[in-house]
Amino acid sequence: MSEDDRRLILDCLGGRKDAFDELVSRYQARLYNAASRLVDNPEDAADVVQDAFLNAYQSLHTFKGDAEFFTWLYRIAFNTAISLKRKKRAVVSLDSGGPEGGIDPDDPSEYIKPGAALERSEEETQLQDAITRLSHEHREVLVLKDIEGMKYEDIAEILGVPIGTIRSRLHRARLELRVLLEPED
Amino acid sequence: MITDDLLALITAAVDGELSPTETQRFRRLLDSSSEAREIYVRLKTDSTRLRNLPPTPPPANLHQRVMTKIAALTPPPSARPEPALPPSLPRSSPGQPQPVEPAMLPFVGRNGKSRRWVPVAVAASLLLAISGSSFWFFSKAGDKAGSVAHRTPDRPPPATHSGAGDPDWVKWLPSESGQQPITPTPNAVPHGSQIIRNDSIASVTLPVESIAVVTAPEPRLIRNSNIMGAEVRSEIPPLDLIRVRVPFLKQLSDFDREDTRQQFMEELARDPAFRIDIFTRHMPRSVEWFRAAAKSAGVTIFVDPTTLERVNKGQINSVVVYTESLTSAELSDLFTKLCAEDATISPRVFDVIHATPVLQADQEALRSILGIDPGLFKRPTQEKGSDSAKPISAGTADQIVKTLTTGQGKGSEKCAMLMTWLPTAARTVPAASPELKQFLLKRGDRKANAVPAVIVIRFGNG
Repeated sequence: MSEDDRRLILDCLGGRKDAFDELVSRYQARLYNAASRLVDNPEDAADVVQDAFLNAYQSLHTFKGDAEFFTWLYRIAFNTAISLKRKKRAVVSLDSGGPEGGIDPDDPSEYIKPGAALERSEEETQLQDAITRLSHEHREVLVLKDIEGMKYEDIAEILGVPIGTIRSRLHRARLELRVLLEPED
Repeated sequence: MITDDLLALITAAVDGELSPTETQRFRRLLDSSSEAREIYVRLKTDSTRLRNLPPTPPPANLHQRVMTKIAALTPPPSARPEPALPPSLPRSSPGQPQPVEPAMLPFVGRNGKSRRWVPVAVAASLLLAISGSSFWFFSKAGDKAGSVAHRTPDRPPPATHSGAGDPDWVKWLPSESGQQPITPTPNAVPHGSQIIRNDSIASVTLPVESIAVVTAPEPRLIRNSNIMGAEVRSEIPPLDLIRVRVPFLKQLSDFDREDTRQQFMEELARDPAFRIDIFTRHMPRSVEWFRAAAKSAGVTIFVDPTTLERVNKGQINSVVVYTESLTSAELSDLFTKLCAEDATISPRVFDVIHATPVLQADQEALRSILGIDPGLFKRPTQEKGSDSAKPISAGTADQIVKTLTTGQGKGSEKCAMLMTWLPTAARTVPAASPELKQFLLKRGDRKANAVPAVIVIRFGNG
């Protein structure tokens, strides 16, 4: 763990709120970028990030310092994202009136701002659409590996599974993504 | 055809997480398969596209939202904030200010949470209590010690506040007149003792008497000044230089290194024939791996079916693969391929590989297995240079044509024979093995640079 982070955490535990403010400033963009790939709309991504920082603040005293702070933060964020998805799935299954009991995922571009979808390149849209259609497990590992650039060990630490499981999930995730991107190529 | 195993290797390459052995395997795969190259390029492109996705910026008010929520959990700035509660425990409503507690690290707030400093305080107070009571007890006991001194007549009583003025102590102390004390024995009170003056104790200064000191005996005289017991030789005789030949002993997994392969080939160049023992943890799998490695090295292995059946049933603990058509480089290549095969599964099947020159006993064993004398200690004669002026006979020309068209020349094919090594009672009778006959027919003349190898695959512990 970097000395800066360590110092900020100690200051925060000592009662300095501005120390946690600094931690939020450091990691909110990166956390939001990852969260936005995991959930289906930007508002959910913002909720995930907000709840993750809140949980981190409340359980900061449990952080042992044996891993990087952002790894620990990511773990909280991913657990928060899973909880949010489960909650939404339960709400959707109660609300949906169709015979199949499911709905299509929302188009995330509609929630950003009007015309944002036009600003993004077609390739990015296709790729984001493919990511959205990946299974949750596969989406997680691809985001952490390719978008966040993490190693197997760090991903295993965040998701709480063995390294062998990460390797096989990434294997299946890449093949699934290839299949999803195939029609557009 | 790309198998699942190779596909997994390709995706791991895209992840950038290949081990050195896997990297070599992957390079060989790319070199040998265009389909693999195409798949790798596509998957790598997908990964690069993901990596190059522009980051999604957070909403402008996200930071504010987070800090507002956190602020709602903490007390007003004038009071020191209470550190966070563990998530599993019930929290108070965010709107209610928490009671202020002195911040201690690590410290968790009220509402029935554990206070880590409490056990320390309890332990400290217990220690103080025990120390105080012990002090009180022994100080009390010291006052009574004089009254019980008679119970230990040979020992002085414990020290008391009265010091030398204590009547019980008086009889232990030599008097000023020099007379011996009444009760104590000479051993109990050292002669010449001095009492250090102490204001709290009535001190008695005694004369210092001479102390008889018992000294150790004089050291014995040593005639020879050399305490080591041997004379130092004035002339050192010439030392014999002995070169010890250490046999080749490596892990099979080391065959992915160039220096190991080089060392192996150098070792094989030193003697006419070698016995190479490979230890394995799983006999059937090791035989299967060896056959696969031989196939990829272009070596035809003739396998005795009875031996194979017994290996799969676990009735045999070692097999022998005999070949006399491979050079040292080809043998090195064979074991390199075997190393690669072994690396595909974890844990590895093979362990140590050990190469030594053959012994007479090895030749005898091989003779009984093959039914012929393999001539392990004979070196093939070097082929003499041909006289270009001498015309080639018709028979020789036919032989050359046959070799070129069918490949059935003497000694042109790389082949080996797999039979039972141990137990000897399980060995196949040579005459009863058609595969052995085929091998002996294919054997042909040994090449000049070939190294006969008796490769014993044997079950090893650990």
